[in-house]
Formats: sequence, C-alpha cells, structure tokens
Amino acid sequence: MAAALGRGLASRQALLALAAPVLGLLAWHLATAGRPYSLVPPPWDVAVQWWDLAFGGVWDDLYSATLLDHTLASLGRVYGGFALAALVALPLGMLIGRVAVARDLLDPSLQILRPIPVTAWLPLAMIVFGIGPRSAFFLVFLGAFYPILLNTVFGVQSVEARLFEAAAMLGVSRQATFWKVVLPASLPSIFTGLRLGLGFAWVVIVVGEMTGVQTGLGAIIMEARQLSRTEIVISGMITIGLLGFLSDRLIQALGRRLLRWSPQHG
Amino acid sequence: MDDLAALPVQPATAAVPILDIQGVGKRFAFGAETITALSGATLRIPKGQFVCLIGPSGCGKSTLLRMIAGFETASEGTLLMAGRHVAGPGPDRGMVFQDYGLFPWLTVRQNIGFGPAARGRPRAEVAATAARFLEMVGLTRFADAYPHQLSGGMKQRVAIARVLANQAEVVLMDEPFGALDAMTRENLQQELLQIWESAGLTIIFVTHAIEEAILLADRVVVMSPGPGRIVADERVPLPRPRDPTGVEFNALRRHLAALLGSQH
Repeated sequence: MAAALGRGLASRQALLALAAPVLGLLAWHLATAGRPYSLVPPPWDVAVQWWDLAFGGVWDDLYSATLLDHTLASLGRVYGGFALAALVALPLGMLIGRVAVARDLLDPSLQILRPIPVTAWLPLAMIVFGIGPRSAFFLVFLGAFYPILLNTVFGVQSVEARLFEAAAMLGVSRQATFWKVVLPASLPSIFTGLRLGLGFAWVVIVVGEMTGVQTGLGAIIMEARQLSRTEIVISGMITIGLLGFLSDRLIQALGRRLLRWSPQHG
Repeated sequence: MDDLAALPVQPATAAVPILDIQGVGKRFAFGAETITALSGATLRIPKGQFVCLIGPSGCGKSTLLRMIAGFETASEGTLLMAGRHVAGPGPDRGMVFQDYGLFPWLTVRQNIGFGPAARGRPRAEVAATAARFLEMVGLTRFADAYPHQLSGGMKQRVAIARVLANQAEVVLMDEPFGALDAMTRENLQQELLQIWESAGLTIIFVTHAIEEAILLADRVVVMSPGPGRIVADERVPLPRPRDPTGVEFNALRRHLAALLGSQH
C-alpha cells in the first residue's frame, strides 16, 4: 500500500519533471519549424545533428562521429583542473582554517584576489600559457579553487567546541585531534565545496576552450558558430548540460555514501 | 528537621580521597573588570561516592566541574586527582555533557569504542569493550545507528557508555538529564544508580533540581552565586531505593530548599 503510494508519487513527480522540457520543446518547434530564415534551427534538426555528431552516418562531414573526442578532451580538462584545485585548496584551506599564522599570512591576499572573475584571468592566462589547452586547464583550476578553499576553511573553523572537549576527555592527544575530530567534522562542508567547485569547472571549461583549442566541447561550439552551424552549437550546449548534470549526480551519490551520518546528506 | 540540620558534615578523611579540591577558585577577565566565578571551594571526595553539586545559575557549579575535568584551569587553590595535580583533560575523568557531545560521524558502537580505539587498544579488545557497554545501556539493537537517529535519552546512554568504556574512574556529569522529558529522566536516573553501584564509580553530578540531587546522591554540596562558593555540604542518609514521597525525603528537600532560598 505504502509502496504503491510511493510509486504513484514518484511517477507523478517524474511526469511533472518531464512536463516543462516537453512544453519547451513544443514551443521551440512551433516557433522555428518550417521557417527558412529562422536563426534558430528546429529541435528535430538539432537532434539529427547531435546523432551525426555522436555516431556519424547522416552528413558524414568533418564533424561526424567526433563528439566522443571532444567530450573526452573536455572531461580531461574539467576533472584534471578540478583535481589539481582540490589538491591545492584542501590542504591550504585546512591550514588557513586551523593555523593562525597561515590565516594571517594568506587570507588577506586571497580575499583580494577572489573578487577577480575567472573570465578576467583569461587574457593573462593566454599571455602566460599561450593559446591552447593549458589556458583552459588553468581557468578550470581557478574556477574550482575558490569554492573548495572557502568551504574547507569554513568547515574546519566551525567544528563544535564541545567535540574537542569530548575528544580530550576521552584521551585523544592534541596532535591526533585533527584526524579524529576536525577532518571528519568538516567533511560535509568540504564536500559542499567540492560539489560547487566541480559545477564551476563545467561553467568555466567553455570559456577556457574558446581560446583557440582544437578539441573540446567549448571549441566546437565556437567553431560551429563561425561556420553558422547552429545545430552543432546547440548540440554542444546540450552535451555540456548533460555531462554537468551527470557529474553532479555522481558526486552527490558519493556524498550520500560518505556522509550517511549527516542529517543533511544521508 | 532539626536532626537533619544537625547531621555532621563528615570530612572524608578515610584513606586518600580520589579528588582533593583545596581552596579552588576561578576568575575571568571581563573587559577591564575581573569576575569571580568561584572562590575558595574545598571538597574531599572519597572513591565510590556519588556527589551532587546543586545551586542556582552563576554559583560556579559547572565551572568547578569543568576545572575538575581539566577544561579550565583554576585561578587559585589546588586540584588533586588520585594525588596528582590536574593539568588538563584526561581519560581518568570522563565527562557527560548535557548536549551529549557525541561524534555525529560515528555509529553508536564506534562512539562507545572511541576512547579505547583512540588510545590504540587492539581492535578485538575495542570491539569487545563496545559490545559490553552497549549491552549495559541496552542499546545493542541500535549499535549501528548514527546519533542523529537516536532520541535524547538514547544519546545520553551512549554518552555514559562512552565514558565507562574508557574506564573513567570519576564520571563528571553536567546537568546530564536536564534536556530530557520526565519519564526518560526517571528511567535514566535509575539506570545510572545501578551502573554506579555495580561499577564502583565516583560520580560528580551537577544539577539544579533538588529532588534529583536527593534521589541520587550520597552527599549534596550546596553552592551559591555572587561570588560562587560552597555554602553547605549535606549527607543524604536515606537508604536506596529512595521514595520521593517519603517523610525524610521531603524533610531533606525542605532543608535544602531553605539553604538555597536563603541566599537570594
């Protein structure tokens, strides 16, 4: 009974979730289909183009069946830049959050650098790293860096004082407190930072790949625009959206597993 | 009434007291002013005694408890635990907090085994210890639950088991049942007495409820604010289990209420 009710609710939810995109597609179709001078191609044309981009066999041009290469190139930059950002931001955040000297030394500088938008770094990145994948990688790193850093600092700073007392009276030494108390207690915050960072990495990748990179989803979007292949532009956008969504789902599932104990995540 | 008031305050001179508190005080700097939270507290507590510290807020009872725990240092006087100066928190003095202080990322079993595990006991021994104390507080069925899944009473059972599993000799309890409903509180009071009797613990229990103090303690230490100090040290000569509706119980209750009331 309860299970049947649950299924009923779930299917109702799924139906509602689908309603908006279906209506959107319909509106898109009605606004564009059969109009030869429409700037935006109708959804069916985009679907065909996406299929050709992914598997080939329709147009058999320069872009056919290249989606996997572009996707892998972008994925590599997103996850590579993200991993490097995590590698630097996690220990740095713990240091700033727990060690007064580190905070006094680094925090003011980071606060001044933080408001500079990632996109404003683009020209400098191109000057320093040249036109190519290294600039894209750098921008992804920068985009993921601050959310991870700030949430890590916040996490290790907001450990309940009571938990330190509990650990101390149970015999945990001062040195062991970091591993036994600070790190596990700040995991939910750290995790939020990682999730936000990965989201930003996907935002930044397109900008990063517009700098004259040969492969990558951002690269074909820009290239296709110059060639007026709007179907490819939209296909690339949809692919990035799907990958970003899947990527977020993955990290959320990981979080639910690791943070079963937390009422906000479990 | 009179004969109760005349009960001698027995200084526990038998052997070395497990806790020897001599003229202990605590002053806090508050801006330019100095606030005296506690002054001249002297108490000798023999092993195995159940002591309640009672008094209104601001009387320094929690401050005294936190100094015994080693969370705060005394501004004056000496504090000896088993003959040694208290220099900080240690596993010989376990604390049970009103807000539990459980580690939310550990299961009930892991919380109870935390102390022995943190001090490097072998894995099998930690597991056996955790199982024993899970059983003692009746939480075996909830061994793998996380704290946020438990009721307040269950959380406090975990907190007590955690301290016992760590072989604390003195258990310090800071209004441990203050946040619980009346039913749960009564059950936990009975369980605590059973555990105290069977384990031979020394318990120092802070409360502001007179009835709770008389129900539990061998000895009730009455404290008063402004500045915080000890004003009376009363024996509870009633046999256990105690009947809160009994004549002697209520005579003692009136006596303590008078002691507490006369300070305002």
